[in-house]
Amino acid sequence: MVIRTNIKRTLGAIYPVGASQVVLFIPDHSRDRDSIDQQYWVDEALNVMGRLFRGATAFPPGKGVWRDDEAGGKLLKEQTVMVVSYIAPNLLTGATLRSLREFLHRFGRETRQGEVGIVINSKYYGKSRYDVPKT
Amino acid sequence: MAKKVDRIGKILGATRQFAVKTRAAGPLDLVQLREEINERLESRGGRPSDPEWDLRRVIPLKGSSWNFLREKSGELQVSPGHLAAIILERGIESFKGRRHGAKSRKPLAADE
Repeated sequence: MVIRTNIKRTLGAIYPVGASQVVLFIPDHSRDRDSIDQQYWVDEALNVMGRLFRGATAFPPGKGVWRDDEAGGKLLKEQTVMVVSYIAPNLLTGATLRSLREFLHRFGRETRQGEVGIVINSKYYGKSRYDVPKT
Repeated sequence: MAKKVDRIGKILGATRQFAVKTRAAGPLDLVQLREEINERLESRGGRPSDPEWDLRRVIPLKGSSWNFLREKSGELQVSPGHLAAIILERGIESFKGRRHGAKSRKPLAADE
């Protein structure tokens, strides 16, 4: 016999907001292998994703690798932090995404990333050209 | 060949986009479906049902679809009719979500 439960009610949950997943990758090096202030950028990502999505979690760094095709396929080993949010799909409005874009492009530009990667709803979006900041 | 960048990719200024197959089809889908069934169906002394269901309608479908529902309902320990209703409502929600996305494209494009 299967015991049927209402998970939301049983857990006393307030926000059954769905589970669109947003994952941002924050490496610890620039494209040119220079160290970047990873902790600063992780905190910035948490600030932005906390404000836009109501919560985010940064996981401890894991060893990663990225192939720079514009540098002849050179492999760049790095320690990468994943910042993850689970959000309601209706939060992905134009205004939210534009705020996110501003941060992603600033991160890519100021830390000279070969590519800034973010996964939203099981789709990877890579950015290798960055917006020029408005003066 | 490069794939088109969708609405989210355009707003984010993505230079490339691809699907990450994190949601495996098959067993995981069944697990999610079972969770939804367990969450929605309640027993009030009788056969478990979704308390929000307030209509019954006759809907045409292929024999092969009914056979599929019967087969999967056994695995999921739910009636074929209830399974059909849940799958139909999932489809409707998904369709509504896509329509919502399509509607929001116009104003976004205007100020891009």
